[in-house]
Amino acid sequence: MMDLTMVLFERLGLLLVIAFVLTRIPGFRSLLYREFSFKMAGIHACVFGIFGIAGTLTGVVIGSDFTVTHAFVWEVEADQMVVSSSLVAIVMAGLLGGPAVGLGAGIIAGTHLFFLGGIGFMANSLVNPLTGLLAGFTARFFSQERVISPIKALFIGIFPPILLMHLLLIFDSLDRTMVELINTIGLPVVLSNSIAIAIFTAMIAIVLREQENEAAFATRQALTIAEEALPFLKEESFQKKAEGIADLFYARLKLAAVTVTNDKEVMAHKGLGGDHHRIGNPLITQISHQALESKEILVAYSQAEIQCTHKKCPLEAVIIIPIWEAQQTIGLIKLYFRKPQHIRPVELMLAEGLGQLIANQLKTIKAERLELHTRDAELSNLQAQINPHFLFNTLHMIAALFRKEPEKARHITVQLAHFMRFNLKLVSTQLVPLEKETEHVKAYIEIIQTRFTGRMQIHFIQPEEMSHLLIPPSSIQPLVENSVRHGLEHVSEGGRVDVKMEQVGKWIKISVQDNGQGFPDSILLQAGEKVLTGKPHGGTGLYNVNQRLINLLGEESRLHVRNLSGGGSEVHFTIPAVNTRKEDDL
Amino acid sequence: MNITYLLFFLCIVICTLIITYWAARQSKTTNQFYIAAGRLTGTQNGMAIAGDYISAASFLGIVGTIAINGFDGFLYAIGFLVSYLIVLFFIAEPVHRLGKYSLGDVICARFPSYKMRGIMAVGALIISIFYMIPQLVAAGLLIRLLLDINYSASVLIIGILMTIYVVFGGMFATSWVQIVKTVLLLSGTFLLALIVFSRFNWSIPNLLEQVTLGSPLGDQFSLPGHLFNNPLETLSLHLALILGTAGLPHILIRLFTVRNTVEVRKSLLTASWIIGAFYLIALVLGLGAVALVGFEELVLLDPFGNLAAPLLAESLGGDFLMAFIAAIAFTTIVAVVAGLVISATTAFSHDIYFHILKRGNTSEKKRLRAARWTAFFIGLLSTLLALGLRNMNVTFLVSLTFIVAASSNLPVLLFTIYWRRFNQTGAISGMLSGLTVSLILLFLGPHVMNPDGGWIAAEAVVPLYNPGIIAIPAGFLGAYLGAVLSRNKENTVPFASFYLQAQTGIEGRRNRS
Repeated sequence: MMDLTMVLFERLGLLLVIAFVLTRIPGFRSLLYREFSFKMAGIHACVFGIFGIAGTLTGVVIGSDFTVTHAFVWEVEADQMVVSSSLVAIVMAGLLGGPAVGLGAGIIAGTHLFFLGGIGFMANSLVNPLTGLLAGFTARFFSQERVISPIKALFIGIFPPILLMHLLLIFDSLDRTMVELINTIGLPVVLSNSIAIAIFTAMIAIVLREQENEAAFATRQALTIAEEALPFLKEESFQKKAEGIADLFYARLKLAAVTVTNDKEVMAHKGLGGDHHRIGNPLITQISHQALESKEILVAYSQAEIQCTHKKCPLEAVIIIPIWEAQQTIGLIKLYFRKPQHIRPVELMLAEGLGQLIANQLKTIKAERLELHTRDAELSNLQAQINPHFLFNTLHMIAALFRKEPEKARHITVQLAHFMRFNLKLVSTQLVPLEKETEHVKAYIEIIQTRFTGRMQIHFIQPEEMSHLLIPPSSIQPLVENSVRHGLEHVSEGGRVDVKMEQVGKWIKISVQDNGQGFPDSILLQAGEKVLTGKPHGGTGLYNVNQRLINLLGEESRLHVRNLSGGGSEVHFTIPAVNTRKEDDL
Repeated sequence: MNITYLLFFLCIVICTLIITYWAARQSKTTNQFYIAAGRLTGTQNGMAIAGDYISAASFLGIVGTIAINGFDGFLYAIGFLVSYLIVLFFIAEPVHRLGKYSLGDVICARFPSYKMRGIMAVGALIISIFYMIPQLVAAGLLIRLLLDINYSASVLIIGILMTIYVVFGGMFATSWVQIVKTVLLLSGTFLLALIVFSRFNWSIPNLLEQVTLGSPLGDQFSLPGHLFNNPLETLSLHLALILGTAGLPHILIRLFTVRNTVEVRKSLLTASWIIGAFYLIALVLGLGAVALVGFEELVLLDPFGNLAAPLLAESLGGDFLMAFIAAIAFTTIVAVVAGLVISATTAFSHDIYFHILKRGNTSEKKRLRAARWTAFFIGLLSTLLALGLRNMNVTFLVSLTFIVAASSNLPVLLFTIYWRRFNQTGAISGMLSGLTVSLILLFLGPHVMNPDGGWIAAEAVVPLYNPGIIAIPAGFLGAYLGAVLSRNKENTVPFASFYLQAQTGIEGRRNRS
């Protein structure tokens, strides 16, 4: 019996070596990824069935005189019995693939044994599909683990050989020699098969764990990169953003080169091919334009697709990740590889993950900025709420009007109250109906008009239809204030401010014109873009309004500042004629 | 003892120890320790109940009895099976709804008092330990026969194993060992039965013919009367069997290990199917044994024919099959005794220690520690008792268990759940009367009082081997009189709300601890 046990162990060892070598081949390894489909199940069944047949071939043959033949099992005489190790493969099939795969593999191995013949061929062949089925159901029982632990597999593996022995007796029970036979082969088969199954299971568990570790590592990498990219993304200048990201990606990922572009040209490049992938190169390739438009990750696997103009470019494959912000693609990150094979599923997943993470980072940064602007506006309006000069002057004016024109005094007081109240809106909401803002402006205008009666006139033109549209609070009033305070600063009479709202196509154009001195040329370009210091209470107004308009309504609603040809200036902006946002959407 | 046997036994031992290790990691709270946190499914629990119930005495004994006594052996087995109907219809769901860990909880749901709890706990302890001793003794004998290890070592091994299972693994380990045992038992015996059929060319008439040839009973084999020739005895025995299961603590605590009453029903149905299937297979094995091994051979080694199944396996498949059946028998033994240990542990550690001694006021950790120590000592105690009683005929303890269960636990349970007029005095008197009457009758019976070989060498006063027919009505009567003759004064919960909870699970204003 020891003899037989050793032989079976040796043969199984052979099979295990072959199996291990197979698991090192990536194509074979992909068989283990559990994606369910009938085709995969069929392929698995075939592979394990072939392994089962290999188990039979590497088994031994025992004669009815109990001599054991050690040659490989190609054919069997009528008075001999096959001692097959096919059950190892079949149990594995059931444990890994479930009842269907187990059954399929069992049928394949069983059919082979059926045709091989010999003593006990019925039992030998029947036990395979039966085992496959039962092993599959057992696996379902332990289904919370992806792969069963080797110890459990060991105990599960003890039963199929026992089942085989029973089946042999069931089919051939009248034969006394059968009893002797199973006593000879029983223990060796049980031992060898169960231990082989345990080792097989351990092997597969290792392969799967490798796969998981790889995935875990890649995930960790992606998260680290996203975190490290944050300071670069916060940079104001796109150039600095691009350079920072290019450096980071090149350092962290094993790439041949990294290029970061905006929507028109290359902003940064690091790595191979730096001689012709230069900063300032325009984006000319088809694939770049496609990525910009589709906002999806694109992969190019050959130089033909990359369309690099330089013939000796060492970069043969690329993954292009578009970066988008507020529904628009603002740039591309291109990850270059030397060879197309270097792009594995891991790299693709990483690219996708990074693209998403960066978009999220950008959104977060934008939200932070918007919050800052809103707070600035709150602060400055809080100042305006208790703006001492404005209040002081207005109250004086009211006091002066008390005796002579009491009605007017009362009216101005009410307007002052309105004005102050509307200022509060800035603190509480981000968008208000146009109607409210109009009232706000009108209150202000009333007060100013009364103060500067004779010096200037303020006209307000507004059609009726547009009151429900949304606009950031206190966006028109600062423009008027700007015109009054700066444009008409030195005008002592005949000053005029026109506030106009008119529908132009799908937009409502809101403009504030004055016939004052206009903007100085130096300031003209920067007005609204930068905070202009130097003037008390000045400068922040236009900038603040501009930023809020852009952030809340988009780039199309930015402020436009120009000097009029006949003297004076105009500041205007447009808002969509249809509500694209709701008041409490933000 | 050859290597095949050793390897199979080692395999079982290692497998169950691994189960215990895994279960130990999930037994960190009393909820997990006592009732596996209620997480067993109905099917799993049913398999565990079957595993708990079919003892080695059942497995080997029934096969042997059928082989030797024919029809009556099968009739004996039916008693075991039918008892589950009583459990299913009358006892199972109310017990599940009323109790948390032990039988004491169930009765005290209606009669909350320390006295009541104490008596229930003592009853459960007595039954469990009395049941455990014959199991251990039989186990020792069996292993000595099969493995050639001496009696003391065998008892020691089993005692140590069962203690380890319960101390470390609690109800989880116990349940899973029992489930594994059920799978092994059913598959092993089923395959053996198939081989028996195959031997006779799948022709049952052939089998039966050979049976009549192999047994000295000849044609009379299939007729009743070879074991049960006294109608009173037979009735008494079956009464005890059919009514006893519903009072066995180790079966009833398994009603707590599932989530809800649907699972309870499923458990009992699964268990009934398994037990029924098993006894059918046992029939085939018994017939096969007497046909293939022959009567003389069977009684050679053991006059009761307890080795029928292993001998049959040997004749059919040599050492290999015999080793397998022996391994199955071994698993059966450890599974059942582990179930008994945990039942006794629950009775002492939950009812006596936690509720009575500590008044329900101690930390979870202490409770768990108490449970583990209790399990250890109970294992130790039973092992020592089994070692000491090796030469005595302890089979009477088996019938004692069923009779006590049927005469003390069952009347109290039924009256508590269903009778409005029942009160605590009745419950106490029921338990006491059932217990004492059973003990007295047994001591006055032919097991103990036997002119040749009994403890008391005299003619038996009550000539019934199974005095169930007297003891069980006595128990019912005791409970009834106790309730009727006492005044209805104690602090019982209003019956209406109790009944509602028992039948539907809707709780009133009482809280359960």
